[in-house]
Amino acid sequence: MLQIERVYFQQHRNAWLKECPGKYVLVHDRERVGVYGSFLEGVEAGYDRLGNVPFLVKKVLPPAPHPIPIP
Amino acid sequence: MARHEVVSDRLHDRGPVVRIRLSPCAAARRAMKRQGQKAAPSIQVDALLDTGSSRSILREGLMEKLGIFPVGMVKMRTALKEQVSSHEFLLDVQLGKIKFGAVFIGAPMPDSDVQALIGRDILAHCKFTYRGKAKKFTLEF
Repeated sequence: MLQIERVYFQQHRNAWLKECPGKYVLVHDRERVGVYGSFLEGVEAGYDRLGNVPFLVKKVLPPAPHPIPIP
Repeated sequence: MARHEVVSDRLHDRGPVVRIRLSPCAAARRAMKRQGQKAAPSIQVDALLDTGSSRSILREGLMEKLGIFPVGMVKMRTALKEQVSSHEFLLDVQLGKIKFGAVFIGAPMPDSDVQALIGRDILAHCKFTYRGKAKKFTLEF
């Protein structure tokens, strides 16, 4: 789940880093639905515009060098 | 300031564990209602207050019981140093009389007797006091 959205985000990350660095993009399928100031705003917009479906809200940042460790 | 205190004879063995109730966030509940979906019941889980975890985690598979889908994805590193992609979910949390929203990452928790970890992302918003001698701990929001 969300693999299509993840790949789409990675493909467009560099362009978005120039356009809206530090913002949160809402991606559904192969479409950028919107750009928001916070994760919460992006998620609320996702539910309001798309409904209860899988969608990706992700901060536009360079790739994280250190993944989150699972304790 | 809202306060939640736990007294436990097992504090030393088990760590600071709270019972929390999780449900889809308000926006998800509205979307489910609009789509004619029946809201799934909330779930109750035991959660360890884990200052060693940067993010809050819920055992994989429990999200499905709430009838919601992921809203984000993060890369995580397992104990075997493998990188895996995990899903993020926005949930409403009830701890006693205290209610707040939080993002949980779905991840396997094979060796744990709790179903969730409350990490520093949530603890950043409260005061956590551990009183080992008194076998008590307190969260203040």
